[in-house]
Amino acid sequence: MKYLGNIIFVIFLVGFGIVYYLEVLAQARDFEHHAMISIIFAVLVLLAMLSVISDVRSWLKESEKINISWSNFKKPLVFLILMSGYLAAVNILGFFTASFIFFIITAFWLGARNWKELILVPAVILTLTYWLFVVFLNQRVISGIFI
Amino acid sequence: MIQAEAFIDGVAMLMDWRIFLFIFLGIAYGIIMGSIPGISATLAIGLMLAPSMFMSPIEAIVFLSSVYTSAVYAGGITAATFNIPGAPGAVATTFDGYPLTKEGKGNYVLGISLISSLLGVLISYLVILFFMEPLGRFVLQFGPPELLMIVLIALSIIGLVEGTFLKSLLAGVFGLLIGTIGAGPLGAPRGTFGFHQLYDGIPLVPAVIGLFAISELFYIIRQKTLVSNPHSDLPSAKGAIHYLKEIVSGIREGLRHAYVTLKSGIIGVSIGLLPAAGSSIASLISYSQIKESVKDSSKFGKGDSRGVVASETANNASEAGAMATTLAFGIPGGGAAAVLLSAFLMHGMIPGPYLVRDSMDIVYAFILSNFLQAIVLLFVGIIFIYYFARVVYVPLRLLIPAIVIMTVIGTYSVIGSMSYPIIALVLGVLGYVLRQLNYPIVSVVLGLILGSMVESEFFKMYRMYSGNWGDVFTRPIFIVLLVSVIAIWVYILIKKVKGDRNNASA
Repeated sequence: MKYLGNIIFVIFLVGFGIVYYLEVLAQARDFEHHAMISIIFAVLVLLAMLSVISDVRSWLKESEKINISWSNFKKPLVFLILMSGYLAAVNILGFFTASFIFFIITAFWLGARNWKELILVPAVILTLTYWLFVVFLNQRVISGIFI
Repeated sequence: MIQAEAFIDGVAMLMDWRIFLFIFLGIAYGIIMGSIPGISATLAIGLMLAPSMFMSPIEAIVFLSSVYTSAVYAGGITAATFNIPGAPGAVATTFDGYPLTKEGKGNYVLGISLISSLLGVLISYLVILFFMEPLGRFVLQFGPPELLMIVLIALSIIGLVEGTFLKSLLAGVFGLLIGTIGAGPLGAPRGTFGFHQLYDGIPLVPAVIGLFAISELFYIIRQKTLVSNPHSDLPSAKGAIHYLKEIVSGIREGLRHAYVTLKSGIIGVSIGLLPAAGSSIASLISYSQIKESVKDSSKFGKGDSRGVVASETANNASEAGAMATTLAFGIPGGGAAAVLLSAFLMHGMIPGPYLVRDSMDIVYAFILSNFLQAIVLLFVGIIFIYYFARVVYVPLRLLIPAIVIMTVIGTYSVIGSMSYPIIALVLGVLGYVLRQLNYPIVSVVLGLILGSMVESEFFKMYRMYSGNWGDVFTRPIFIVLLVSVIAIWVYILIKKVKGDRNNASA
């Protein structure tokens, strides 16, 4: 999987580079306005080609089998979903409410079962956060339906 | 070089118990603020500008300067403990600091970081005390061509990080490319994909937090605790004395590397003098120079104490350099120095040649107060480390959600926009993919930091010398730096090609 994964990633990098470079070219009137980006883009394409060639050669040598194991990605994927949900909920529920719920769900998922860990710890952390950011630093925190 | 009368007046200005009180308060406040991801030294000082109006001018300057000193130091605490650089200047501290923490040497590494920061401040302000004016005059000869060369030297660290050379270069060049996103030399935004939040480029604070910290969370989520063998190092098992002994042994280790400290201090103060260069470039150049100059560099990147010394000494030393240009010429060497400059102005002092000519006693008082700050930092720092280092023993089931919450509020508070936490999450996923494929994240971060600088300095140089390229070679400093850039990159290429051949034959 490592070679194929790398090849796909390099293609993604170059794809991004092409889209970006075309946008820069469309805006730039003179050479000096895109000169440095042209150099960086050219080096990126060159290095990407070298990387793909090197990966293909190694792949052919080692005849790597594609073996994607779900268990390797399960935890990071669930964590990504939790964080995305948290960021979405922050705007709806407000920072402190969403954070409290996020803490309980994440801690429970990671193995916390004690009520002190699930309720008391986030309550203390969020109280301190509130005091520091809202009371002391006078910062505006994300608000929603609740605080 | 020292004006004796002004010097004595400067000392007299500091002989007041209120000055010591404000140094203590500033150091304590700066450490707490600086150790929160997303809160930079600039923000920490900025928040104290209004309260400082109720102090006398010298008290205010000393207080804000204490915040600056300790906040810069504290950026390294989270870098070493959680792989979260509190500021871009602490990126290089993660290379060796975090691996040491994962080995269960959290106190030890924070001890090294504390003494290195302290020595960085002492060395740099000592240099400034004697050579502020001549150094400042020398640095003012640096134009876009010289700054471009400095950036290219800083980029050389891409070739020195662990892992495949090709992958490191590719990651670095990709970083450079995304570093140019945002308003170009003409002011028109590029690569923002319709998001106006990217008009000023990819913001560094959420980028660094995302690439380093959030991507790390995806990894450590499989573990129970941050350190590899938590039970052997639990403070409750060994007692407070053992805990303090570890901090002291770290301090001793930091003191053992006098050469590394001195060299890093000088690099730090020199880079800090350059307007717009900053602590991130200082610490990265220092790290790469130390790695290349020591006999055995095989442990660099895996937990070498000299790596922590190099980074922490240089980023704290760069603070003095930035302040020297601010005081002598009124040109702020960085964001935090700019806020301090405004503090001087608010209190009726105008930094620049007139301040140096007419009020040298204040300048001396400012410089000398930094020596006092370094001493106070040592004691406050030990107490802080004593409590803070225990965090690594907290079970990850509690630490992970707490870190996520702190990074969200920390990144949000930078500009008060949800776009920053979202950028941190997106780049966190990118960082995770990069790690999975063995790309060094530091190369991307380095490119990101330097991308816009490379473009803007090149653009200015092009405008200055277009059609007369021969003239750029009439600048002696440029020539010296150009030769250095070529020599460094040729050396790296030869070393890497040799290394690859040796690996292939093995």
